[in-house]
Amino acid sequence: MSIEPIGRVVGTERKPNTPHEFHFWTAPDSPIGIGALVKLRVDRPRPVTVYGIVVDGAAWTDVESALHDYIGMEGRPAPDFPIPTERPEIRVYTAAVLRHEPEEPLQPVPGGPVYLADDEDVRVALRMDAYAKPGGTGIPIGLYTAAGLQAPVYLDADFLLGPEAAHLNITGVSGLATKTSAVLFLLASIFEYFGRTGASVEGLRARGSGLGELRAAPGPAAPGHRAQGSGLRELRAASDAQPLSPEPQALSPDAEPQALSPDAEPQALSPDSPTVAALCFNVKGPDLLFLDQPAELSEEDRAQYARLGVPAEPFRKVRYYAPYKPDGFNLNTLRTNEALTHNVEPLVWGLEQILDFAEVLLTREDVDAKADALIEFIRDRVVGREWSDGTTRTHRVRTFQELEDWFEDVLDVCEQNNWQAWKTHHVATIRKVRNRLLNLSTRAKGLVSNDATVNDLPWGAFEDRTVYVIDVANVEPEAQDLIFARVVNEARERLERGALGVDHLIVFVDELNKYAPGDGPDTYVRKMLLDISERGRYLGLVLFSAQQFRSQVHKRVVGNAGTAVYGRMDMDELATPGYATLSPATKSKLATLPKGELMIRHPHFTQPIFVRFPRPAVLAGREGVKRFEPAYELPFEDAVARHLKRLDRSISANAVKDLIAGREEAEVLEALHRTQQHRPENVLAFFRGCLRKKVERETVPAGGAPGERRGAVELPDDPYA
Amino acid sequence: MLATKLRSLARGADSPFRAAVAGPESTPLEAHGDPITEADAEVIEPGLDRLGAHRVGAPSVSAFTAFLDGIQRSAVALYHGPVPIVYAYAAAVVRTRVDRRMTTLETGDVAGGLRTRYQEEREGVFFPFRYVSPDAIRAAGVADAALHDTSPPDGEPLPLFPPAIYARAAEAVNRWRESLEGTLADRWCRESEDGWLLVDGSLTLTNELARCPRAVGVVKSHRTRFFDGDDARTLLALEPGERSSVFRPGTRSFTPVYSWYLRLRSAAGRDAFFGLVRVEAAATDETLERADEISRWLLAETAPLSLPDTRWDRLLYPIRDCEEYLRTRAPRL
Repeated sequence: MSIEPIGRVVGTERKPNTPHEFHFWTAPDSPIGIGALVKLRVDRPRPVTVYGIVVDGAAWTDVESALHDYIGMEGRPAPDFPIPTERPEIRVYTAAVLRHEPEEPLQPVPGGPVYLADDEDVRVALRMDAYAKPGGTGIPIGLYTAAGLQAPVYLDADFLLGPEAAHLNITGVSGLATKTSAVLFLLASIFEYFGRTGASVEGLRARGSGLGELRAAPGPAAPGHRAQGSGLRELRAASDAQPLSPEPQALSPDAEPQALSPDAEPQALSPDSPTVAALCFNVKGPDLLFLDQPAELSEEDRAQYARLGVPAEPFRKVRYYAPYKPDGFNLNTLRTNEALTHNVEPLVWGLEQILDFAEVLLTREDVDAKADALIEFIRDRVVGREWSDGTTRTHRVRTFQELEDWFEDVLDVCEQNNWQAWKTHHVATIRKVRNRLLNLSTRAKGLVSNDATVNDLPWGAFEDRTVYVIDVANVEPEAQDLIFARVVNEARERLERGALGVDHLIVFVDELNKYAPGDGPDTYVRKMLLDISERGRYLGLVLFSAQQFRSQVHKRVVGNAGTAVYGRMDMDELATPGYATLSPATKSKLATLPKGELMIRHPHFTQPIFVRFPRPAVLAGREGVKRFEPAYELPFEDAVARHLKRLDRSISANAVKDLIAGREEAEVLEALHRTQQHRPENVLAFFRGCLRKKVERETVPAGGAPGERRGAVELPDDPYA
Repeated sequence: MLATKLRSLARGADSPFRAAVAGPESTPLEAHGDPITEADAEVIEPGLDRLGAHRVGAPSVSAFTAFLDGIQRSAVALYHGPVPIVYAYAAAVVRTRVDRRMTTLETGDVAGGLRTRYQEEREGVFFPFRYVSPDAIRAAGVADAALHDTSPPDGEPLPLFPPAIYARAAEAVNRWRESLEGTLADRWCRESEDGWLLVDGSLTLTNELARCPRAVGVVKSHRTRFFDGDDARTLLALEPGERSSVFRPGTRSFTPVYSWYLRLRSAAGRDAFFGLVRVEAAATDETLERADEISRWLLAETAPLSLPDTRWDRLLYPIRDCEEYLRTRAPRL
């Protein structure tokens, strides 16, 4: 508690104090502002401490009418005659109560001196004392800053990632990088704290041992991360033995830390620690394409990272996925610079992957009840099984090509027998469904393959503290929907079975105005988002969503978000009923929030809190594409060579080019996809084996080869003849 | 506190006291103001034998650093038969200006706790002991120091006539308040080493104040007529920024002061006294030399305006600040 009070609670008849609100005056030069936390403590008539957050303010002088001042100034705003005395000006602030101590009996706030909150006050006022402690569930979201104070503000992981509550929704105008930056910082914070809350590597870092080095250590998936936890312990022990910093931070075994702080005793992950990964959809330009590249941070940013105990480093484990462009060999992403392709993989799906989500691409007009029945029939009884009933031959449908063959066979049978229906399905329905389904591969070209090629997310082997980014920024909207629907559905099903590889998956979806609008058609994607919002917390499927206009997002999506974050807001948006509970001053502050500042609502906070967060330690998309210029539209041979080099960096591009010279693109692509899918040890040999055997071209000299008898005329241009 | 004690005397059916009931018919004690008087005045401005008008120049940076004013509140708290028992509150303060902001003057070692705060507050009970025994009031726990006898000096009659009792009480409360102001004024005169003191009202509160070379009094009310005829026409016709010649009021022969009238604001279309104040300063040659300069300081002190006070044309803003400060502390009667 600051020693000197900065104001005094005053209740008047017109503005009385209540149990949930109080008023206090301060001097004009007081550091109090909207969003500041204050504390009132009185001992009489009974000891009470009340914490509040300033939500409104008013100032006035003793001048009763503007006309009086006008007359006094002789009508001159800056008079040239002396004005020896300044009118007294009073500042009266209104504070919303955050907490009473004791909680009962709940009474109107008494009069008394008001103090600025200190670190401990912030912790207690926001009820963080229940969880932001060693062994607790605190996740730093930012710093509460006022009057020189920089107090960490923690979210409760149980209410952010489940099971008590879950999901986070962030809203704010575009162009200020607030939404994405905030989510990236929070992900870094979650990765640092979740499961080992109380751990702060800052003590280690101060000694010169970087978490980055620890994180860089190779290791398999989740167990690997746990191994890192052990590493932390070892490192800490080592650093205790030989402090590297000239001013080592005290890690007294006798001290019993009550609050999380950068000085807190680091705690490593235990084998029982929950695991978490993030799945991000990059929906705009290069926003999320350089999460593994470091940004240049200011000293202020670094100080904030240090204060929050989060390493100022990019994400160590990031995997990128992007569909191909329609050409089938160039990835549809801006992360194509050769220096960055080591962790970029194509996202290619076949029939089996998308048939369950055909509704995403098919409109209601396409799929009536009859068509739906046939699709269900195909899905349940044809795809992936042997089928010979009612066809001329046995089919095993796994690809769109094989599905087309099956349809042809069925329609041939109907035609030959002059049947109007096949297995109760009318021929017209069969033709219609055939056209619609086979058209899917065209409509999502680059994502959907006609053959059996599949390159998918590592379902079942998701790794702890890893970010998976799917770049759909340049993908057609229908294909975007398809990707989103299938990925989220698969994640949900696997989390239900405990078969994803991690306990919690954070799905970050931007542009919720587009994917889950409050009005408009009830799309598959919106249904999925609603489902995550309402059921996800039980499963560990957590939605981090962002949009410009919260008021235009489906109410159940934002309503189920336990934590709401607000960046700078548009005044029109703030005028909507959803913000009616905010004071005019808070709205004004929201409308002018600078970069890096947010307003947070969280179940433990009885009032929204303003915090600052550091710039993400990852390279911003715009800078990323400058530094790592994308390799646009590579020629076919170069693209194939690069894909193979990504699997094995020792492969020579010329060797690949020689291997595929003169071959059909489709053949080469099939071989490439099979190689990508199998990830063999000897990449080039496997790739070669996937190519059809090539008959070497021979040039026959005039008059034939000497000493060689030929039985037939050879056609040198056709190696398969 | 004192008012509460007084009210307790009215409890009980056999009490000789009755609590006063406030109402529109109540006679306000403040109604018994100073009477209009006449006094001689001697023009002492060199080279002049009658009052003249002098332009003082544009307002200049004021040298006033301290401002003294006092307030009083009084009301009939009880009746003992027909005799009113008056409760009064008086306070005085010296406010100082630091970085253009007003605050109560404190001197001494503030950190060490040996500070002197230029502020006095008193509560008192005023009534004629001749008609009501002070013991009856003491019974409520009122200290002797708070008891003030409004009986005339021995031998003089005091009719049992409430207006006369009110008048004597009002006069006594005035003197009581002035004594508080005088206490602070003397302290300032003794202890201050630089700066100027601006006093609301006459400097003749005390002899020490009247002699203080860095004190100026500003009298807003014009209950004493010093001039008539052409002299009166001259002073009543002063234009804004003009002062009268310096004169010596004949009312204060014990500790003389010098005085002059100063027009702060234009009275065009208004009462002749609008914006007119009478300035007092020590009766020294320096005062004669600095009359214009002091007047320019006073003109500067007219900004900001003292509205909505009804005396805004003559009430200098720092003096209003003193009043406002004291009013916030005064009990509500």
